[in-house]
Amino acid sequence: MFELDFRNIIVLVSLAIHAALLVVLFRYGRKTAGGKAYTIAILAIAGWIMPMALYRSNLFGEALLWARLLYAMASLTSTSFLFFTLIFPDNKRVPIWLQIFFIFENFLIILLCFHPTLMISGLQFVPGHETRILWGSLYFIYANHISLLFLAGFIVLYLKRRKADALVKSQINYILGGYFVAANLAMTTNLILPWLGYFELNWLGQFFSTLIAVLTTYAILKRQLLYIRLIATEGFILILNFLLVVQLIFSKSYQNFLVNLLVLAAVAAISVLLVKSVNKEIQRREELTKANLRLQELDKQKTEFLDIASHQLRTPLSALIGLLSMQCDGDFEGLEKTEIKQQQKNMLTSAERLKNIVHDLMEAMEVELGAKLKPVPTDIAKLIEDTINTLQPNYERKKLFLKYTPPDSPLPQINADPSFLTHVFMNLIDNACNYTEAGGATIELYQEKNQVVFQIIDTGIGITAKEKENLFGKFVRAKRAMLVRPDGSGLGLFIVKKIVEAHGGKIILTSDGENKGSAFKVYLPAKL
Amino acid sequence: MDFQKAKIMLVEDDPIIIDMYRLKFKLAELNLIVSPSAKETIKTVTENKPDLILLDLQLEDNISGFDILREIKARSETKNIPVYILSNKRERGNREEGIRLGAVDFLAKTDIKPEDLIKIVRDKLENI
Repeated sequence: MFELDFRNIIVLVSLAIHAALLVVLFRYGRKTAGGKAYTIAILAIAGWIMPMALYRSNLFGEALLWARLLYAMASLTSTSFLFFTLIFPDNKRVPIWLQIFFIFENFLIILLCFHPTLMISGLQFVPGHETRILWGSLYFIYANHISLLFLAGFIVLYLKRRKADALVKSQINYILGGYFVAANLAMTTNLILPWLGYFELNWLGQFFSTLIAVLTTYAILKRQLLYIRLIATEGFILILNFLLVVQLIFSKSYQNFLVNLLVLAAVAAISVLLVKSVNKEIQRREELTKANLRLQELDKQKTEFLDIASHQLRTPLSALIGLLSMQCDGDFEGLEKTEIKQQQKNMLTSAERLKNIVHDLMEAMEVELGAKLKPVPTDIAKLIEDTINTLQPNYERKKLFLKYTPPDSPLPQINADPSFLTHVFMNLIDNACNYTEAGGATIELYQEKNQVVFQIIDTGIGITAKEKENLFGKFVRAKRAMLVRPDGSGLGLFIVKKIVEAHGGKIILTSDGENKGSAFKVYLPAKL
Repeated sequence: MDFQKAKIMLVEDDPIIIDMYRLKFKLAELNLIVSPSAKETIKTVTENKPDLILLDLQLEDNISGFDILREIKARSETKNIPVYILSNKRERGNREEGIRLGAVDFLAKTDIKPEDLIKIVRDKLENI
């Protein structure tokens, strides 16, 4: 028979608490790999508590079987703890070979637990005392397995604690502290003392682990404390409804029954509404938190952008102010004409750079802040031909060629915002002209699978592998490009890339290096 | 100190700013050595042993003016060279960081006119 002595009651209460924790964890801790691993660790502990009560009661006269199960489950608590420490808090995957190793190792330990003699050879019932287990010759392997795995878990957690940020550190403190105390106490009462032949306390480990499980669960779900209100509401409602059902069952008369039924129905309906509304509020709060984080991120980006932008604006400004003040001071008097002309050109270039930066900044802000594209079915060939016609004179002025090969057959239309897309082609075709001294540029337009490809290859200054790294970034300019075009804003390619990406396309840059020309390819999805 | 013999080094990568200071220092009859590449700066410093360094903060991607300043102050043969930060990177903390690392002062490029810069440089050279 199942024995309900004081010790078993404690064991059963422990089991109930673990079950409740599991429900909470299952609902709220499942979102991360670490939460899942912890749920499994608690499940293993629950699975270790249950056989203790069965073993102590000698249920169905199978105490020996329950003892074997008890120790098999205890083995799982250490393995699941180690796995949890490997996964938490960065949610890293445990390498598959390690998984296989531990599953295999655990399998062997479980086999050992169920071997007729090697680990547990029999039981000795002593009236008025806890049942004694007779150990086999390999019990020490089992004991080592448990203690080493826990030790490994403690070390892993300790190492992770050193690298963790403040919040995670406090979580690890709870978990490490809790597990350390619980596992060591439980190992003492349930592993070492029984080894020495003292069995009177071997039910206490289950009790210790419960105290700790509550603490650690709290620590893990700390971030989601919002849910506590929901849990409390649900718990309260559950109890209320349960009491009303009891009242209904024990109704004294038919009339009484009807009244109770009505009350129950009303309360149940209100309960549903209440849970829903709390749920909704929590959802709303979560959304608010998310939106707030997003805003903070945007704000950070904006500040960063402004910092760089103001620096970029100041550079041409300081040249302008410096040169103008020199002129006012009469520094230019008596200079050679070529020198004066050079400095005047520098002023003009600085002013133009200022203008370009302001213009491109506006453009970049618009793209950055997610300007609403107004896509319409667009004939890309026409768009490019128009752009070429606009820029042709620039090429002619520098005596460069601009060769355009129209597609063999009409291209499919693309869904695009023509004004933004024109900016892309304008920028790329103009760049090819700016950064080429001799030769020229070749433009091709063709279809590749479901995409329309625009390609421009020039014979210009080229781009080295190092310059390529960050060329599509904000305010990034290759050094040699700066010499060729000191008035550039460093935003052109950044904007181009953003626009292309906003159209669901991509841009690829290739170059064989310095003075070997560059090639830009823009892929845009065709309208199907 | 004999201004004619003094060597001033400008660490700057903007061609127009370089051109402006080149002219201004020539007019002020001061020798200006320009190091447009952050990577080469330390080499140029040890080779030329300038008497004063004007250092921009925003240089090539991976090397900031602070890195160069740290390096200059760490080497025994260069640590006594006075370094002025001449930059437009005026974010909060940059001035303090520069002075903490051993710069004489932080000069904002937009605020210091070329004439003022010459005055500051001359004053400093006189006191060496």
